[in-house]
Amino acid sequence: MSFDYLTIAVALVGGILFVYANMWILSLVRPNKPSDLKLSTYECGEEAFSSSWLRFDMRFYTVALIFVVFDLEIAFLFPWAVVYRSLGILAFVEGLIFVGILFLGLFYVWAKGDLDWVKAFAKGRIPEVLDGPPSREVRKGVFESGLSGGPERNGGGEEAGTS
Amino acid sequence: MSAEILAFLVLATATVAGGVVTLWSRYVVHSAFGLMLSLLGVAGFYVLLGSDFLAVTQVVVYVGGVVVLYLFGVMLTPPDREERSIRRIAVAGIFAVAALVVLLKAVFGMEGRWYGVDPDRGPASGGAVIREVGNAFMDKEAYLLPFEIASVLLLVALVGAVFIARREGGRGS
Amino acid sequence: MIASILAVLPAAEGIPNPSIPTSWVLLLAALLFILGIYGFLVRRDLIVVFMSIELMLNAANLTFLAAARERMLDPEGQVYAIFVITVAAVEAAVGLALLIAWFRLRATLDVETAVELEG
Repeated sequence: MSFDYLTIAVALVGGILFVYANMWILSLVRPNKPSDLKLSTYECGEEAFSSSWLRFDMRFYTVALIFVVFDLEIAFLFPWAVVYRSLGILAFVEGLIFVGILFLGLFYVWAKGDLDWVKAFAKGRIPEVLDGPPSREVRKGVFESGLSGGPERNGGGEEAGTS
Repeated sequence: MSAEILAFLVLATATVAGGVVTLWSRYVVHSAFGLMLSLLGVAGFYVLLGSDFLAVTQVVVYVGGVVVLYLFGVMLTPPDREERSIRRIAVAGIFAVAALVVLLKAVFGMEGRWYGVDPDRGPASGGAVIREVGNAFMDKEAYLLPFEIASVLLLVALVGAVFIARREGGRGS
Repeated sequence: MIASILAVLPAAEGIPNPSIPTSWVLLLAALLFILGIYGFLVRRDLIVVFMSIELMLNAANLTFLAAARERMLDPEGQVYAIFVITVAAVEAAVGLALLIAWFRLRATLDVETAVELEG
């Protein structure tokens, strides 16, 4: 292999250059009249009232964690997949043991409900989810358990009365 | 200057610059992206060293998985504006210089060739190496036990990390 | 001339990209490792401390693969590198989970506040 990856390098450099060259060329011709209002953060027409940092929900981390674990599983199973056919049934069983042990972990997080995005649904508290449009109760459940952190946007209004 | 050496220099610059950004930036998000640049540079080195499979693994696992995990860690915790302290910089600098001396001595002190090179072992290509890696994983004289234990390690990490990170008694659980 | 100084271990024939001496790669791995040590010691933000550990583990991996190339792409180097990547990712996963739990408890990530077990 002299330099098989030249194609990738050319595509990478070309892609980066394409973006920045276009931005540079456009900066030559476009008008540039900044003002305070234009430079402020756009937040759906409202005034920005908090820092852009807000605490994300833990569930994102859990999902990313499971992704990383099964990513690593691929790193181990790829060499196995290349050779198991030539090594016979024993190698196949060895790979199955590997996958089986990992599936124990998947079943654990599944059974414990860490994979349910909205925990209220899994616990069966809101049985009418599947039929008909979501009731007010359901929407409240989704809001409370699905989006923690961040400013409360929905105000007092209708939701407050149901609790 | 051949293309390989040019690639080496570009990758070395990217790797070291990413590392410097990682440990020097005041913003943890910038640190995470510096780490990503550094890890991509290391993946490029794996390509240069002929380990194609490891390069792909590096990109898929590190850049696609671990850095994302770090970014979620950053978003789950607030920015921590730490003070720079001269004392810490001095102590860390002393240790870093000491480590640099030791490592340079190790690299330049090596004499001759690497020991134990099989003379019959011909030039290998990336496609053949992945087969050899698979055979080593499946060979019970070689790495079969570590291979299976790795799955136990992953299982423990999955269960343990999910258990630790689970919100106890808070809202929504 | 610099190349002749650095090429204390000229690469063997028949390995990928023999124009790059193995010692260059080893020197770069050493530099990366030292950056990791420095960041590990100088930063107080726990997340950046973890990132420094990742840098050090990557430097170790680079050394493994440089040695594997020197030995005609020895598969053992690749196997070790896969295990190191596994351990690094697992360490990041569990470490960040602990970090988040700790942050929930103490509301800071400064490592100097971790003095609960101090005598």
